Amino acid sequence: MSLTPNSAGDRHEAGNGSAGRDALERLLDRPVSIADLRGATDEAAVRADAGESGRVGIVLFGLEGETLALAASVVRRVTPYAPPVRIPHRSSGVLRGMCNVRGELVLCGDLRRLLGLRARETEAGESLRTMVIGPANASWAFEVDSLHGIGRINPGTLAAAPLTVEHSLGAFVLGLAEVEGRAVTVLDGEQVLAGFKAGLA
Amino acid sequence: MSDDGGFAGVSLLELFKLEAESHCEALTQGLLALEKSPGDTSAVEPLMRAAHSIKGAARIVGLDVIVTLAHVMEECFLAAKSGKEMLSAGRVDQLLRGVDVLAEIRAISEAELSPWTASQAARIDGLVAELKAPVGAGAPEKSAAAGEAAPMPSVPAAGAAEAVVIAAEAKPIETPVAIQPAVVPSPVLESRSAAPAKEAAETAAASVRVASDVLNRMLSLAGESTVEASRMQALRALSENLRARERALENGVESLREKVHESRRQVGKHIERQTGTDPHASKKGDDQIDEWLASLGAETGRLRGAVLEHSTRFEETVRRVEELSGALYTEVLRSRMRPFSEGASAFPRMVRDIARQLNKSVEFQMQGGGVEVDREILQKLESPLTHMIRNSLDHGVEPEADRIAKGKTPKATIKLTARHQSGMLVVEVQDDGAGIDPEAIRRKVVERRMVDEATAARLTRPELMEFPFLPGFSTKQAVTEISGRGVGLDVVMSMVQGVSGTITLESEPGKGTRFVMRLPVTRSVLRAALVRIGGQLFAVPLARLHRVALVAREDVRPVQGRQQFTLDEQSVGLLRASDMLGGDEPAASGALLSVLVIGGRNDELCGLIVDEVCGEEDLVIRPLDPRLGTVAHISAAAIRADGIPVFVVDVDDLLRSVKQLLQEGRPLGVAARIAEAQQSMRRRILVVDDSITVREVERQLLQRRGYHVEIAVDGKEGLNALKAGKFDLLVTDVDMPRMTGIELIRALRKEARFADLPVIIVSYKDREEDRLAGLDAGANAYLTKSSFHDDSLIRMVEDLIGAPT
Repeated sequence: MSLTPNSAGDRHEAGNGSAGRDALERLLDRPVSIADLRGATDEAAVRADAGESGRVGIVLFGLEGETLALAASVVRRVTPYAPPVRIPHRSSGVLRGMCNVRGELVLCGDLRRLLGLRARETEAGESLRTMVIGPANASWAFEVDSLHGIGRINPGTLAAAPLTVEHSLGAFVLGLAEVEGRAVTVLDGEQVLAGFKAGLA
Repeated sequence: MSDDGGFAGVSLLELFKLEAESHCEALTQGLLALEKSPGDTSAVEPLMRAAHSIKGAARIVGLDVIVTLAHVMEECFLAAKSGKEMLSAGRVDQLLRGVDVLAEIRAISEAELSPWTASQAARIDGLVAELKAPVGAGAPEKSAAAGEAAPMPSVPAAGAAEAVVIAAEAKPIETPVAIQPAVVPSPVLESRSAAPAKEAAETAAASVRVASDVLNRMLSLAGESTVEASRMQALRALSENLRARERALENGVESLREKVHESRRQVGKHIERQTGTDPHASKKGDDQIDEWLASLGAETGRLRGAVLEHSTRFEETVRRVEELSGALYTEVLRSRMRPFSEGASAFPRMVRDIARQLNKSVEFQMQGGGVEVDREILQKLESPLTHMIRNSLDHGVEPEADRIAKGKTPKATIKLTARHQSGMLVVEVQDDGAGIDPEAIRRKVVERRMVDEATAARLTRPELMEFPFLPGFSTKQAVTEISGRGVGLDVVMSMVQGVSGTITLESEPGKGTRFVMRLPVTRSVLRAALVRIGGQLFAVPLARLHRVALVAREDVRPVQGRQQFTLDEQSVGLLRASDMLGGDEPAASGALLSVLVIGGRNDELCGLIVDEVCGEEDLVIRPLDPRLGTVAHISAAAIRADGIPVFVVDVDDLLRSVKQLLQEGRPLGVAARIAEAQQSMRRRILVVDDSITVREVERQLLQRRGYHVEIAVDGKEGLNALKAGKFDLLVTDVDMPRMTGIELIRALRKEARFADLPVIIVSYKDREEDRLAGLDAGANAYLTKSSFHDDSLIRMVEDLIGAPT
């Protein structure tokens, strides 16, 4: 049912040598439905409460070549890219503007800028997404390069961010984790929201 | 993420209140109708049912006093239905008071409930006793009723005291001869009110309650679904593409077939020449190739069929989805609209009660009850309408004796009409009372020193009629209970302006008075011109656009350092809109400039160059994210049909900035420069008030004293003005549209550079709590508008910032 223009069907047609990889990509890159996201969030929430394994769900995404993640509980929705429009006299720095996410106008921040990531040429094959985080009346949207799906981590076992992580980024990082063999930087959702909010002033 | 709009979290008491609300309305309407045609037993039936339902519901939530009250009310209806008792005006009064009790419960929170029932027990018991006592048989019963009610004055509740007054007044009317209801239905109303209770019951059955934010979300989603539907158009291109590829494949197969035949012929010839053997010897292989080709041909044929069918069905689906989502959007939008009568349902009762209280004979008429109005506007209308009708009853309509003496019909008429006129909702309140004497206003204006005598003498009649809307202006000396204390037409004015409406007053002395309000039919949809400014789309409310002009570049001339062009023999200053709203500099292209002309009326016209004007669109307006606070030049946001967010331009605010920029750009002559230099040394005061007269009075007062004064029409404009210029003092009103004075002061105090700016509030509100609220927000002083008449405003200004220079 991926009728969205951004699900660029074309690139999955190339060659059958990497059919497995393709299928995996298709699976991971498909638009995440809110129901799925909610389901995952609920599941994660229940487990944490029950203390069964202490694992929480995280949403993995790519930004400037890094794999980043946020707790599934702070992610409200992920949609095809919703371009922000500039807010006169206001848009600058971290505040990019306002975008239309499913008929709702949401303030749009610049996560790259907030985290101090250097912009790099976008690679072909990345499909931009808009991610919305935070509670209904205080939510923020931002653009991510791609969505890598949902993983699970145990917050207790997060590795501390190495000292090489730039200071500006450090404030927003909860820790490092490995998900399915991939190094993931887990961000602190509350800090990211606070960072965006500070960008309003 | 939880935004449940359902009834899940609602308590039983809340449900009871909801139920009581609908029944109360049915009861009130039914009772008023019964009063007019007391013999109509069929009309009693729904009332009985309503009382019965309330009784049942009250039992569930354990409101015993209400159970008793509803029970005796039901008994009364039962008696009326069986013909045992005719419902007299006195009885209707009692029953209406019963309805009042039910209505009061609706406003009481769960926590307040038990103290309320305790304090009201005596009053309700008294009412129950009255209702139980037979009425209509003769004098003894009446005195019995009065006797029952006698202990009530000792009850501290205000409602009880009032009830006694009405009961006493009701006495003479109870004698059969005097049965003449104070309010007589108009012919218009009568046809509709034949079975109002039944009608109300039907309406109630056909409608459900929806929380307004649920409705807003539905509107968002419906809007989004039309956007998605229009995106399917893009998929149409995909299906076209599929068809093209299929055709290419078919052509490929065809040319392959030709190539195979061609090469086979040549190979055959070659073999014949070389070997002399029959080329058909290798026919077996050819047969297989032919077979493949044939099946390939058949397959492409089937593919063609399938692609064609797919695209036809797809087209159909797209069209249907587009139609449906469009219809859904319109319907959701319409669901915000309610009939005007819904907001006016309380008025017949109100007029009846007040008329009886004032001992006046008044007929209330309503026209246009079915006119559809946005529910938000409807809610906002209720209070100004109540005020105007009370005003008419109290000041407008004369007592019966006076009317007869003047040769008028003994019964006065108050008429409420609603209609749609050129895209606006027009609501009128008209009475045939004494009217307002313009000369009395003129005298008063001078007396109150609002303008000097010479100016007053020049004021035209429509100009005079604007004064009653000013704070503190009241033509009747005595403050009465009916028109309220300290609340004037200025409040009505600010409420109307709050929804971007206008109000005018027309009056013919001796013949009557008419209030005419013009309001937008809806606040949620805006007809706007879409323009591109600095590469970005903006919406400009069409109503605020003077016109759009295409101006040839060579027609733009610099005059005194500012760009100008001539429109209708008027010189219009010109600026680039992107100078205000930002964005990328548009590439200079084309010989014609697209210019939005704004301003007009009393304002100078200003032209704004935009990249292009893209057309008109109806936009669903959404408030700006509150986290943004006020955004200069922007009043709201909207989502276009194609899903792109646009900002709605605040034309007033923009006009202000434009004028400021145009003035700055003007090189000054020597005299002007000297004046300017003096100006800059003078103390600068910003006056913020939404009433033009108050503004002018304050401006003149301060200017005469020697201060430099600038003005702003509301808090928002004031805030922008303060940010844009340097001021030594702010003088502000409290009640203003868009941003109140209190909000303005709070916003200022948050910013370091305004933390010490002296602020004086000048308000008509003179209650201590208003004063405290103002000072609490950060005002340095709180004065009432009477301060114009003495020099307390000037004194305060001098205390705070010293002499003008």
